[in-house]
Amino acid sequence: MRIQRVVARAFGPFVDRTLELAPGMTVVAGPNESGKSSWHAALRLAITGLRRGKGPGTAAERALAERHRPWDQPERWEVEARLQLDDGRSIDISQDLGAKIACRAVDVALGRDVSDEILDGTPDASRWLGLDRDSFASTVAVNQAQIVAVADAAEALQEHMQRAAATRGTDATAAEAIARLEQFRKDAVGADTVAAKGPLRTAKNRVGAADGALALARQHHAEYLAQSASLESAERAAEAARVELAGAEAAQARMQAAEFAARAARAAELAERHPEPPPSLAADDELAARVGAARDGFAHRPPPVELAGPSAGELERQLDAVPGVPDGDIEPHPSVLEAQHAVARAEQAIELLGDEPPRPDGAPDIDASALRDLARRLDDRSLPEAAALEAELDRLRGRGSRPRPMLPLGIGGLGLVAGVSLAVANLGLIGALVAVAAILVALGIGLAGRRGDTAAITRAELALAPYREAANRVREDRLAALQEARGANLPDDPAELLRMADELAASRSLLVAHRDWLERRASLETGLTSAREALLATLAARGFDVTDGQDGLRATQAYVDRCRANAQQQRAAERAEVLRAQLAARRAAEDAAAAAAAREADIVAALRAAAAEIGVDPNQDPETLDAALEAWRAQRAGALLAAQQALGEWQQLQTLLDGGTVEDLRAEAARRRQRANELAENLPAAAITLPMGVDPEEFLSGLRRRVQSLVQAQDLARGALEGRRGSLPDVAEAEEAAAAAHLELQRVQRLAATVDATLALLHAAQERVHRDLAPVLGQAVNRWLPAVSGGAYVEVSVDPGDLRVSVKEAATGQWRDARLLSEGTREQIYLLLRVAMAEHLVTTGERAPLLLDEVTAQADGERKRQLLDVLHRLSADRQVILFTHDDEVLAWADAALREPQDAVVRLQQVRAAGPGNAPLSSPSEPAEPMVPVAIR
Amino acid sequence: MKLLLFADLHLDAPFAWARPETARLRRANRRETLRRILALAEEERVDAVLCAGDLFEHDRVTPDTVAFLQSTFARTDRRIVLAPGNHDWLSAQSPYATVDWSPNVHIYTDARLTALTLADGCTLWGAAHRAPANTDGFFTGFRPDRGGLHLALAHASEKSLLGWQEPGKQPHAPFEAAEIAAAGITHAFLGHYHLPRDAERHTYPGNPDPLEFGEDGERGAVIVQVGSDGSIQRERRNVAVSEVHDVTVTIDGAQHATDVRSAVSAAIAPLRGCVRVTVEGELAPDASLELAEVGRLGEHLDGLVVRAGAVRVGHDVDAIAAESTVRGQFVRDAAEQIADPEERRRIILTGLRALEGRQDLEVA
Repeated sequence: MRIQRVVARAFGPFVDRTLELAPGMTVVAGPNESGKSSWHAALRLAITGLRRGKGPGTAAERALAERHRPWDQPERWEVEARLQLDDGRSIDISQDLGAKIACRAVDVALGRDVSDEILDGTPDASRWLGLDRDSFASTVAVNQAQIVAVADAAEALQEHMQRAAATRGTDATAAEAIARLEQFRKDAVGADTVAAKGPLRTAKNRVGAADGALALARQHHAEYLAQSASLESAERAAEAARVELAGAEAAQARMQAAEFAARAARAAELAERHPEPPPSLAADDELAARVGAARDGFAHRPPPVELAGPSAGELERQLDAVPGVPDGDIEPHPSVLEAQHAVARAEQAIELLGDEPPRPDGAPDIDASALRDLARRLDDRSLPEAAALEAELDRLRGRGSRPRPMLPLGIGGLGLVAGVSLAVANLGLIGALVAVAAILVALGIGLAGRRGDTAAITRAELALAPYREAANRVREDRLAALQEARGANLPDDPAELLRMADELAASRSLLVAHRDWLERRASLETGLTSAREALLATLAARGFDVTDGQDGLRATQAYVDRCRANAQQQRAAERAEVLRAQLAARRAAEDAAAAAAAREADIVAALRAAAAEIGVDPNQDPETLDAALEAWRAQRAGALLAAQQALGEWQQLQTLLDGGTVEDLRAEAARRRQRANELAENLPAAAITLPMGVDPEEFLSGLRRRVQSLVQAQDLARGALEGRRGSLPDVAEAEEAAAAAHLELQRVQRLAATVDATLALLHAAQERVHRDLAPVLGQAVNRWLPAVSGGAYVEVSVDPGDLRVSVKEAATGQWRDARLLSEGTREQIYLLLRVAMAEHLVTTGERAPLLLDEVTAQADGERKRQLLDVLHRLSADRQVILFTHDDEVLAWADAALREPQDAVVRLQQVRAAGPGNAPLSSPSEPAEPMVPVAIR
Repeated sequence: MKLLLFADLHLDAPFAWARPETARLRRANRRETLRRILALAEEERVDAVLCAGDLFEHDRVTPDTVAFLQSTFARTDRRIVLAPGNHDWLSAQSPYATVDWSPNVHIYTDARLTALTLADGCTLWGAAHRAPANTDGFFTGFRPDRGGLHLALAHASEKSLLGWQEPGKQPHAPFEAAEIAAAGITHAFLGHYHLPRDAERHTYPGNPDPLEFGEDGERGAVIVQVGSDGSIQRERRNVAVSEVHDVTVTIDGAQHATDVRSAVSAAIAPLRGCVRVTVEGELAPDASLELAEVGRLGEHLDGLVVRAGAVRVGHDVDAIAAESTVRGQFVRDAAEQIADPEERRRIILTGLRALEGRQDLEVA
């Protein structure tokens, strides 16, 4: 963007004046009061216009208006400008700064209103640069004060960079904003520690207190409701008890009223019956006592004693005739009877055993083994076999036929069989011999048969010799056995003997029984002897003399007889005791009879005396006298009863009257009836009752205690409730206070969250923008630095943290903080940075012009020239407009600037303002141009 | 027969938004409203005054309110019929049970419909809430055990109305409208919903004195003329003591706090009672919306609540976001990272004000 011209239609001291500007660098020079500031403001306001809004506007706007409104016609305040945009368009922009109505921007070529592109209430051409009214000046305009600030304060350069980076220079730096926010947070929120006293902690404390108060209020309210219910319950219980008591009292009063009515009626009846006290019968009480005693004695007189049976003398005689007590047993002593029984049992046992022992019928007097041995000795079954051997042997010797081939074997086998048989038949040795001999004979026969050898026959005979010897001994033994059998009267048949042996074995048990019987008999007899001796000893022990040689049983019988005699004597002796008792009783009875007779005489005498006292003839028989006395007593008892009844009724009457009168009683009864009716009044009929079977006073007393207790409980409940009511917090108010406290806490917490989030975002934004901006600024300054510093510095560095600027010294190669550089160098670098910043901040394709106001005022000649040279070189890329009153600058301009790229405008001192001496031209009239005065 | 119906007076209810003195005044207004109701009953010579529940708040009722109710009811000759609701539910600790009410007061005590003979042949069936919640419907399965005309009085929720009643309303003792006819009830006088409603067979009178800002509809007491044939004629009467206004003040173009104060002052000047002001519109960048300060306006009012509505920022946020400055970056980051529009607005304004060097960094 370049500004071709500015037309002050009505602006400050100018009316329809035009300032033409070159596209490169324009120096507007003039002395003080020549309108430089007005043109500077007009130029800026022609581009941005003023914000349209209700009210007087901001303070800056008000100050601007106060300074630059037309002096003569303040209501008209207008300025125009022609702009050449970098997109090729030429724009005429008109700003109605007073009314803010006739403002517009027109495309000169098309004649079209393009205000909408830049409208912000009014057209604001800075928007084509991506700026606004506030940032336009701070971005594109550099004034003397800023240059002075950089020159005077080392930190101003950095601060300006930060401010521009943060808000395009319109407001605070980001660091200031952050510091302000942090301080604000400290003041408006504060820490959240227990000891903190800031708004957040205060709000939390207030919430805690309010919640606590609310909880307490609710608790108290709940207790109040509970106490209300308790009181209501206590009142109900007390009322129920009161009704019950009143009912019971009414019931009792009714009963008492009825009772008094009955007492009054009874008293009236008694008073009528006993107008006076009844007489006393106490005078003849002693006589009545004596009559009573006489009659009582007579009634209880002893009965007459009747004596029966033998007299005392007769009994004494009978006693003298009784024998003495016997000496010895009066009945058989058990020990004697036991001994007697023992003898009898012994004799009975022997009798039961019998006299003959058991014996087997016809049994020989020999045992079975002897019979079997005898049978063996009689048996000769082996001898025929030996004879066969002999016969065979003889045949061999030639008296027989040819030997048969099988004969030897038969002999051997026969001999063997015979031997074994003999062995079995308990002929051991003989059997063995027979067997051996048979074998040998067989061998010999065999050999002889085959060979006909006599030697062999000899050997056979030799072999047969022992047999023959043994056979002889057998025969001899058999003969002996035969003799023994016959001697014993036994059969000689071995088989019969063997049968007998078997039978004899079978009868051996009878023999054992026999032997037992004998032993038993001997034992019994010994026992009998002992028993008999014991019987005799027992008798002796009982003092019974046994005659020598006397049999025990007979002695016993004699002892028994003696006992029987003793018993008879004993019975006779025992009667003496009976007789003595009868005698004593008889004597006592005779004494009693005598005493009774005397007593009766006394009783009768008393009876007669009593009869005489009551006027009855005492000489009558006692029964008659007693009847007369009874009649007298009965008559007196009737009279006495009547008197006692009368006395009792009199006493009852006195009790009933209790010192009063019957009328008093009637009045009291009526009063009580009235009282009972009063008590029953307003009570339900069902309540007027007293339970059955209880003492009314006790029951009423209990009810009264109960009522008293319940009333006390009721009073306590009422007192507690009253106390509670007096101190009961208002729950609604507590809720409202809690709600307010929570609301305040929410506000502070929301504020804290907002500030914290804002701080975080600001920190992040600052860091990012500085990081992006620092290299851009550095590169932009590097482009011009060697030229503006005369080669002293060759490179610049911008710290992305705080935008601090450092420069590299060409001579030493060392980096130096820009704050430490000379004022002139700082001014130059500042201008370069402003340009760089403008490039950075203008976000559209346009290139912003640079408006400079007295920026060289503080520079000396060389620095001034260097600065102007830099500006001139910058004007190759962007329009530079420099306002100055400095003749040196003007001289430089005259020398350095060339038309048409550059221009020099010389302003004349403005005439004094005032009504009438500065008439304004009409807007339609052509404005008087401010023509450049000296341009080469 | 002529009846007066009201409900939901909510004596001793809190007003969380109000200052203590305002809250006390509003509670006093409730009591005065009851006086007006009873005065109306005397004026109209009604046969009975019916309260369909929530006469007071059980958890907050003060001894003074209990004494007020007892003496106020005792002073009138009118018959008072009370059906406890979910806020004044009947329990052993309830004032309904612990207070010795005057003989002209009848309180339903069962959680089922029980009879009260209003006149020969006319029975008013009523029920009580015995707990603050979970009370079953009263009309389901109910049938009168006698002849004549049957009316009902209860604190109950007609289900179809839940959707358009105030938010958070719980369906206590719920019922379908058709159940009333099915139960043989000619007309049911009901409480619970604060929005008034005259249905064919039931009536909600609404809260007679304003409870919240923004309440509309013809609320108050209802004079009911019951014909012998069961016909019902209803006439609504305003008995409210409190005056409540809900106004919106537009502050477009306000350049500073004074503009805002002036706008609000102008809006509330003709009003009385309690006013809630919602501020909305575009605020100039340099202007501060000091709601607390604005809230101190209205000395002539019983109470003033000022809240920020749709307040727009006067800054050209889009233009700032286009800047290559820290400010632009900050706005861009905020727009990107802060999802909640209100929070984003507060943060952006706070940051911009800090960058502008302002001291009013708390954004309403």
